[in-house]
Amino acid sequence: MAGCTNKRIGDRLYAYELDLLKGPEREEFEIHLVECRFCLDRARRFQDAARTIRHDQQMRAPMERLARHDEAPGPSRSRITITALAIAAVLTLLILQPWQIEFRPTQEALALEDRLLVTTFDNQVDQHDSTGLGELLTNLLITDLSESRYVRVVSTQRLNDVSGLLVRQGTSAQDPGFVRQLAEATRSRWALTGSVVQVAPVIALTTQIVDLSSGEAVASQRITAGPDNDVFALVDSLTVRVKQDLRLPDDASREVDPPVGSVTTYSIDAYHYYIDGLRFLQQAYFDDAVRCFERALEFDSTMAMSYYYLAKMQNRDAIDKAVEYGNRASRKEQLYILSLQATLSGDASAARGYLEQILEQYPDDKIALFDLGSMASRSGRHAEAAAYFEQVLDIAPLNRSAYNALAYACANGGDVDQALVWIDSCIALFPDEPNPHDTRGDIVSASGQLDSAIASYERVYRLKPDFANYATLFKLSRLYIYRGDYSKAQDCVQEAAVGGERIIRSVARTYMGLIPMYQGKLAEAESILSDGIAADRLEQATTGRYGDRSMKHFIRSRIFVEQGRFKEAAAEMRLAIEVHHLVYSSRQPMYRCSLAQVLAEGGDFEGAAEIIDILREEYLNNFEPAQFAYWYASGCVELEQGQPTQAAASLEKAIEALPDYDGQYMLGRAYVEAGLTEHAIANLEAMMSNYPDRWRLILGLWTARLPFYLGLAYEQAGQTDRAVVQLETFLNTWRNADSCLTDVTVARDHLARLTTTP
Amino acid sequence: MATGEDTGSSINILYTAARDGGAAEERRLLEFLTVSFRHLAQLKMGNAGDAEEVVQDALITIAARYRDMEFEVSFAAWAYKVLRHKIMDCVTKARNRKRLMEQEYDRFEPEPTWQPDPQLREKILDCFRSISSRNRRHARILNLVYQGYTTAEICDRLHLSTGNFYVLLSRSRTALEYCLEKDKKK
Repeated sequence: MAGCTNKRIGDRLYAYELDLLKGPEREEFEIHLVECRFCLDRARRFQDAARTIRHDQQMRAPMERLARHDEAPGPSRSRITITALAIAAVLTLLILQPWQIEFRPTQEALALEDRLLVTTFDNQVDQHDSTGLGELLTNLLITDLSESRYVRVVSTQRLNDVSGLLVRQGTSAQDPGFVRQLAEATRSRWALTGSVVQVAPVIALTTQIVDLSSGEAVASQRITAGPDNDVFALVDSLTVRVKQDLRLPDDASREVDPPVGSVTTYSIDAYHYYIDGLRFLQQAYFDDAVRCFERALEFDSTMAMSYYYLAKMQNRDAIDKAVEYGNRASRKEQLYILSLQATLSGDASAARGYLEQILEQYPDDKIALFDLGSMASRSGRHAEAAAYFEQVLDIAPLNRSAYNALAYACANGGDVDQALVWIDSCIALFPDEPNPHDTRGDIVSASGQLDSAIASYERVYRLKPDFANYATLFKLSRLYIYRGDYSKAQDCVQEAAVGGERIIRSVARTYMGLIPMYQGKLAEAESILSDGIAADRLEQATTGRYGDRSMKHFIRSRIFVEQGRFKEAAAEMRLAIEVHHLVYSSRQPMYRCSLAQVLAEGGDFEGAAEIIDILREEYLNNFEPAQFAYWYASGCVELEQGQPTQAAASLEKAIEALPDYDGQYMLGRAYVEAGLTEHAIANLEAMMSNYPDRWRLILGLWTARLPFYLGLAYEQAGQTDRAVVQLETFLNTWRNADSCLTDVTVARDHLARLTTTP
Repeated sequence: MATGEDTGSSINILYTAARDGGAAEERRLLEFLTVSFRHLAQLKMGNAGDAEEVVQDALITIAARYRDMEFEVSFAAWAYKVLRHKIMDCVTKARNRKRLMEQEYDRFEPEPTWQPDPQLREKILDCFRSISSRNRRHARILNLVYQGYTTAEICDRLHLSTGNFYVLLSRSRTALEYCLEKDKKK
């Protein structure tokens, strides 16, 4: 049976049967039914079912239940367990029978489409393909063929996904039926298999194209590289021959066929590193991926896609280079680049437009779907994000990144149970990969489950101690600190300090100061930070967003405030601003509102007011970051001036603009001092379990005080038992604190009163 | 290999052969049209008798005129228009009303003579349950269709481009078709 005469229109059959096509679209489809016997036969066979689905009123209630079944918010824990088991069962099913629902075993016309599958080249000279030549040739050939408007070729992404699934299913790539299974899974009518039969003096390949609907070989080729053994030219020649073998329309011979090197690179080494980078990226080994892309650029400084991935992961400025060399990427890749450029410049709508353009042409493009999900996620549209990530999983059921992102989207949307279902499913599939465990740690940490989060991060550490450039190790150290395991925290930080690169060592030196600071050992912390600043100067480790030199100045400033050294505190905060400004010269300096706070704490209200005036001016001129800063500084000054109710109102506006940790803490304090007990309890209780926020440790002197203020709030509310627990917790954390910290004395007094008053 | 664009469907070949050939070629063309016309007419008319009458009427018109026609788009598009006009004429007469406007074509439904088959309904629901355990989007889309959402509104709610929506629907249908046929084989 011949296939559909126009796949684009043929795909609308079900929409037509459901009466979703109207006007010209409907007319176009009905004309198609007049001329396409394939679609007409499908429609006739399905006529009764379509009529039942559309018109039988009794279909509706069960369908609504099926649709809502997965959408019901906040399932109970017992239901979650069942859901988790169900998901696990479904996953097993997907793994064991991944294509069962898509294929009719006997009717190739339905299953196979006019698409070409290029399988990985078999390197007969080097069985293990230790040089990666087979993979390289496959990738290049797919890229080159994809540039043709006349060839539908299975993408490298899809090839890898499907191969991965089949291998998990137990099929070996060496099995005779493997190619057929790959073709069926990708609904490809043609499969191109190839072998490297010679590498010296020049590379020689043999290829064969098989029409899987008939099982017959359509064509075979033997092709040899030219005297210069240029792999890229070899792939270009092969592409021309493949297109001839596929008997494309006449126009195909007239289309411009750019050399594959012009849309990738002409450097074999660069391309090898690029492929390795993509592999690391898939496993979420971002630092390894970054290194590979950087290495690729050492061999070819015009490789646009390497810049693209660098910009995506680490260095946003690299996008300029990606755009500059955009003509060295394929058409689809150029759209990725433009989309990322738009994203980084804050033009979400343009970014979305580019991604949708990709999807118009390649509806199964995982990267575009994933990026759309990420954009939704960043904008706080978590349900929308989850829908995109689910689409990625529909296409690629083993896509780790989609599981991961889906888990975060659910967690950020408030459905922690569902988030755990997704991430546990991912862990079940990839138990030895660190990233899913890290994500699990993040999710349970955000929901206040300290021990469980520590267990997940410890698992990451066992699998890859330097995972994510030691980020997980730092997270683990923070949680150890909150649990009071200071020596374990110290071990983590030491390891990062020894093994990490310059910026990591700088961060580690900051953490070394934060550990005693959290315990109220101010002098010790200040001394360590002082040494850290000296070391940072030596190593010029002023760069990096966190834990850099400006951060150390900021922390020292807060320590000086606690010690009553207000002039030094203000000077230190000014240094923090100065260093930060050096690092981020193009952006607005941070810490100005903190300087206003320090000045007010030292009684210099005039100085604070000057800063507030500047911030107000910026705020009124619609400079968005100034909104938080202005209200925060105002609230802090009002609190110091003994106007806690007014301060609470200002700080509420601050966290409305930006729900930062410092704003929330100061708001909690203002509520306590204003006697707004209920608000204070709600605010401080929420902060108590907000473990993931790194500012929780940077502002460790405040975090350690959370139970103190919460204890006072409980006391105000007459909840004595709770007050006692909190005050005892606070006193335990600061049991060895420096004597200048007078809150310890206050807490002791309150505790004594609470425990002795009948 | 084609990219899915029309590379010359058999109806155009049949039409050319009929136009330049004799009675046998014309018969083949009309037989080809009969099958699709019957399907389309029955969808709109409900009543098989009326549908057959409309089809025959349309085929007579086509047979009488196709050799002399110059087609703006294609023979298939013209033939379809002929059928469509015949359907509208018939519905106008049957419902004893003024001529239907062109834009009303989409909206009119066949008379409700069709009765659902409970067995088929159960089979379909079983398949839906099985598919929904792996992919819930099909159930979601149908639920929205039942609630009267248009394609554009569904795409908006599910954050899909229209093209992608059709592809997803097409896949879901294939899964359902396969499930139903598998059940038949049992």
